[in-house]
Amino acid sequence: MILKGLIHRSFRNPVLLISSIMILLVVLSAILAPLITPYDPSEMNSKVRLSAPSVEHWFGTDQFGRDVFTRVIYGSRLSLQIAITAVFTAVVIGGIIGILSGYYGGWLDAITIRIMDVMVAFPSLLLALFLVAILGPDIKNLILAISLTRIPYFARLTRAEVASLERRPFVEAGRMVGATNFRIMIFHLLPNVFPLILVFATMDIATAVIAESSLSYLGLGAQPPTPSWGRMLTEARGFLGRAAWLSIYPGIFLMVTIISFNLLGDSLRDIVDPRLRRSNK
Amino acid sequence: MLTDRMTFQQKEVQRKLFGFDQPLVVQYGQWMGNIVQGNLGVSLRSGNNVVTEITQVVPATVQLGVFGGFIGILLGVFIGIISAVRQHTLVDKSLRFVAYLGISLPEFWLGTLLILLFSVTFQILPAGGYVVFSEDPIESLRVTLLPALVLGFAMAAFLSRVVRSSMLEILRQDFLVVAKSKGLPVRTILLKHALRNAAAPIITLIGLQIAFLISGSVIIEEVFVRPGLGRLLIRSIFQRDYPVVQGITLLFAVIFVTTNLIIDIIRGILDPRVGEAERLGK
Repeated sequence: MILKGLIHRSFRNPVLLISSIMILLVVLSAILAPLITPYDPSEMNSKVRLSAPSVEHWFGTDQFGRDVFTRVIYGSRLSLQIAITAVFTAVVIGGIIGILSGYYGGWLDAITIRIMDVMVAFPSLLLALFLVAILGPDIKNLILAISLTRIPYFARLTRAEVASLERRPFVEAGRMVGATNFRIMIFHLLPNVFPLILVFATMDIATAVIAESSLSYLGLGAQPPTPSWGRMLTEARGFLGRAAWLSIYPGIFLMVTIISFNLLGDSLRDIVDPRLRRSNK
Repeated sequence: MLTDRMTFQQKEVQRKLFGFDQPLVVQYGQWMGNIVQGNLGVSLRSGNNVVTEITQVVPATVQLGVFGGFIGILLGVFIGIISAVRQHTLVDKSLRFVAYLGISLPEFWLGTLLILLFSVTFQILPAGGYVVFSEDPIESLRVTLLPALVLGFAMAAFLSRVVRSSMLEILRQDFLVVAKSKGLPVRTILLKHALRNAAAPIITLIGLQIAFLISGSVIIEEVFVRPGLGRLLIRSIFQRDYPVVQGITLLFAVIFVTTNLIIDIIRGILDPRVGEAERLGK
């Protein structure tokens, strides 16, 4: 029913429609990467080093003669994998923390929420940077670092929602018919906070993509020769004057992905929580 | 100071010298003890005092932060006011779109675009580097302009949203109608009457943005090859120069805490209701 409503709305809401289509394209290209790309992402060819975009190489080639189009498409695979895994982990852990501390309250809640506040006070990019620096730069640690920095946001969000829902009559009714705390949390509270969490998770994928590409740009993410948008932009720095296509294409894909997830999140939020839209105008 | 080509004995001597043979708790205790005395230890790479290492690169970052913050505040407040006054017009919509871009674009991508545009295509601004201000002020500002624009644009994007929404709230209130009917010029009304009353949330955000300015400058310095705190941090991370990394982390933490405190005080002065409410609450 939610899906039907979404499709129905998307025809009246061009932003929702366009951003969904863009995300679908990026996701599809990530999944089908080996099928749509004509070359291997790490295949070097010294004959076509730094050649401009052409029919054979749509986005040109880099300093090792690798096909930029292929690498950009594989880069979307990496970015999405990292971002979605990190956000999913953060949503699950943050959600559990949020529901528990919102439902039970008390001193446990007070301690948890202070810890979360402290984590939010430090810029998440710097926190992730320090975590990767301690753990060592690789993809697994990158996911770990990004999801750790996102947990407090979901914990705070879920906690606030649960705390306000907990006083509502349907929770009282649940208790009255003898439902266990576990049952109330899973079957009564979770379905009510889920849409909001989903919306913020969508927007957070954009943040996670920015974090992933920024850390990769600094050399703290995926290590070469794994194709990553951020890494490609670092490697292209020496060729800005000679081969601008090395920077432009990965950058455009990065930008479109981030903006699409942001826009989708915004339009979903307006649907799920119309109050926010009104206060925004 | 430390190289890969050291014998086992030499390494052991160095380990003892730096105290790496001690348990972590002891090392941490010693580090804390030294901080109180203003000693952040010695860089493993250069052998210099960490305080010296940091103070050497601070000017480059401060210049970027101040310049960028200046552009950000000016641009953010300007865009925010214009878009609040011209609410729902094309101007408002396009300005809000620009702000949306500013929030969505990673700094390193915007920086790359600006280098491509101003340094590669038009060749009017340098692509990076750093010139000390006292040596050549004009060249120093020219080198800082692009990185400061990137930093400022991202900051303005966040700021303009808050300025817009708090200005919209204020503009509806009665005392502004009075100011208008008195025949005060529009600029006086907007800047003196409206902005002053909208200032509390704006100041809070600017304070929060200090943290953002710092994390932004880490990446921007890398893009524009600017020898500041950010580049020192990244280099030290790769070289496992722990004392320097610890020193910079501590510095960042101190800056965040101090700015948050200052912002709270300023808010109380700007809007006496804040201080009053807290006193009544207790």
